[in-house]
Amino acid sequence: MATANETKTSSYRVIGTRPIRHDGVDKVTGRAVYGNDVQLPGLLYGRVLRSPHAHARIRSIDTTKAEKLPGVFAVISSADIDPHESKMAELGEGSVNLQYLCENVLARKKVLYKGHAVAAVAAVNAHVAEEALKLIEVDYDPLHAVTWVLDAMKDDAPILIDDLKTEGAPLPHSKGPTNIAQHIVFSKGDIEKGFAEADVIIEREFKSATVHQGYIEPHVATALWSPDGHLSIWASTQGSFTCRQQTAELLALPVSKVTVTPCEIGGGFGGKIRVYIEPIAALLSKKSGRPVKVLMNRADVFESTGPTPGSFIRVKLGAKRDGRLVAGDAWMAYDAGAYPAGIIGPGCVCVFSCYDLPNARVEGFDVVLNKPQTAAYRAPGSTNAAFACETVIEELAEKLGIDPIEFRLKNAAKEGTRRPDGPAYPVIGLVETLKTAKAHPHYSATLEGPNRGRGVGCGFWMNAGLKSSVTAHVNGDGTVTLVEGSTDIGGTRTSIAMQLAETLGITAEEVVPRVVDTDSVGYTDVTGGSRTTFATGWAAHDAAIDIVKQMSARAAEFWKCSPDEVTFDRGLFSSKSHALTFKELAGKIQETGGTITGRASVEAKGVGATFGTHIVDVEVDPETGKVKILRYTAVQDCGRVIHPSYAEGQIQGGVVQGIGWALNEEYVYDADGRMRNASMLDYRMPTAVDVPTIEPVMVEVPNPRHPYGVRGVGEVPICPPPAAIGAAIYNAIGIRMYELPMSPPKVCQAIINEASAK
Amino acid sequence: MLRVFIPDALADHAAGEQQVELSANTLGDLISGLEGMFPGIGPRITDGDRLVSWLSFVINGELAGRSFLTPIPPNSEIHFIPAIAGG
Repeated sequence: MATANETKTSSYRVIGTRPIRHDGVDKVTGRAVYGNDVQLPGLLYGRVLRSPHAHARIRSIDTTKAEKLPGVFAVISSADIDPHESKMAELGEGSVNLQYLCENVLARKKVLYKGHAVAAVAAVNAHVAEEALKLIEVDYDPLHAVTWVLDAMKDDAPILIDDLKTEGAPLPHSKGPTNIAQHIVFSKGDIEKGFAEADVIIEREFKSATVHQGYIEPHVATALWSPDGHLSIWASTQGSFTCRQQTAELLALPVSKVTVTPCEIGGGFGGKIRVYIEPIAALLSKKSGRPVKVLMNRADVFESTGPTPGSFIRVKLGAKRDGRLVAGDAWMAYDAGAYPAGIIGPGCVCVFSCYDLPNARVEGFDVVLNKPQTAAYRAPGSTNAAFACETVIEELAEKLGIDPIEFRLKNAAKEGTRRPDGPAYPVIGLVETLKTAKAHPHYSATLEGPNRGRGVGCGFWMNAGLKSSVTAHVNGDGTVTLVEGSTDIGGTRTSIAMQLAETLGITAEEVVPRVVDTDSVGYTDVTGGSRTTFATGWAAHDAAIDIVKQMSARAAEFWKCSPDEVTFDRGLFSSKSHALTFKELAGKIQETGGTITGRASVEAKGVGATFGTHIVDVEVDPETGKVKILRYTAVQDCGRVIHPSYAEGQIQGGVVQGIGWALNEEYVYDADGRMRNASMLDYRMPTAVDVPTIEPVMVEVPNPRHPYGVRGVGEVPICPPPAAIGAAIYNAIGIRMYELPMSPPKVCQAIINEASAK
Repeated sequence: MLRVFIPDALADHAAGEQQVELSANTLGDLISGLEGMFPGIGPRITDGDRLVSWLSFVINGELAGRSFLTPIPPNSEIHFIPAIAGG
């Protein structure tokens, strides 16, 4: 597998190497404990009754018959959870309205999407629980549903939330109830003047479908509400502390009364941050007096958890003949789903973020409609935006007769470029990715054969910092136990351990990382936003510095000198006439005061944004409209790469998900707002036979504000694929696609339309 | 002095000003300062003792906390951008 710049230009001994992941053996031998592996004495099995309607009032819920079924221990509905007022709770990355969260967990007066939870049962086994669900009588008053974002914005659209108020920029012509939860406007320069200066202007409209994160492991949570009032939860979650806070807020418990243990996780991608079943399991446990496990099935996951927004985007760009962009205008409407979601925010920030636009305006709308509440999904909002902007960039380059990468280089954002939303970039690596892509053999390789084409596309994600805590205990054998709170989704145990090891001058294998529950480590924000290797790694670095300081003092005791006279370099403590390795000194610490524990809690600043430039070759079957990926190269600025294998894996995984967005994945709704393809068979995700080997090319532009130059890696690789594949399709068959997914029926129809027009 | 960029969403409260300069050590001070300059702008962007959830507070290009206690280094550049979530 090729990588660029994977050279040990620095003196690092651990960073940049590829140690075997600490959790690898457990995972390949089946010993790792995932959410559904949790077993407790007396465990009951919970199941959730979900709405068959996309939009309906709940007249009544009668659980009497279900409660009488032998083997049933508890039945709950919204009557078992106190209502919450409209109040925001911070979740680290983002925040949540407790009223909406509460009503999403268990519908109160209305159901707002098919699959909306209405009631739940705990029984002796899952079969009895499912039988009991059939005995719950819900009287619905069905209402008209709306599932297309532009329809939901119309004055005569069905209104989902009667008292919803539009937040953000004023909407002068808005009157009465609305589905527009948020209105965003920001601008830079003088957009009218900019377009007046343009020699070429292109404006296009784009649609994208609702897409799910598609994690393999369904949501699962086990709760035990003890008689002493303490609630313990074992969950598949991206953020144990976020899970704890949401659950505590919903159930009116102090956070100290809730312990969340994060289990191993079979994928999240942003979809396992908000709670769905954890409070339900807790309430069932409280009512039954027994531990309760609630497990979603695949249809539950599709229909009831947060997918990414479907969207409508209009992008207009103007350029001079010499290829300089002079103005950009974007109008963006994103699904919120059933409740305000806010993915439109990053969408607006990202739409023009790759380019140095002197004049720009962005307007965005977060729109509630009868789909599940949308959630973060790998660079949330950015993939939709990149598809629109990058496609217009391609058309402009073609019209101006400029090589598409050269056109992007002329306009690429760089250090000091001010994004349309205001902030100026620090050191970034978009130009480096463009130059690397242009020089890559793939870009100049001959592509022969009919209906084949090559495309390129760029993407951006800002990444996150936030809060992380670790403690690190020095063991007598020279190893260090690293205690952390970050759910390990993509190998972060190892990437964090490597930063500790590098700082202490020991090997990655000499670190024993442990992901622990919320009572056993300091507050740590979610594993998301490509922040974990960056921020928790930073905490590990600082904890190592703390250890070095303490061990230097111990060495000084041995050597009867001042701690200031002890130096530390690459695992060796020394003074004028003495020297001890880290391991040797670790073996003596019990003689000089006992265990040494390093600790650090950081609110990491200095986040480094990430850019990617992708090249793809496709072949289009004109008979069926099927698009085959022939070759894929993903160039990305990764900052300093800690563990190349994991960075490559993140890039490849992101690209595959982007290919899914581009070619197949979509929620298919019927006229009544019911999802018709809520299974892995009918919701078409890419499999191993659909994609060739994806070549990741890692460009390292270190983030100068992180101790080891780390940027986030995981999110941006999902952004460029739809636009790059769209460009490749155009170069293969001469037809531009403006709607995702570019699935066989849509490509086929486009080919027929094109032929008819001729 | 801080250089504060007024977001378009608040243009109707800021008499058309796009940037202002003022002194503040915390987000709470900053919002008080803005309210002093543009009466009515404070309630638009606050929720109790925090910045509203639909805006992110950005200091020198870095996302910062929404609490009024969030410290602001001297001579910083301040933006309010749409709220950000991550995956």
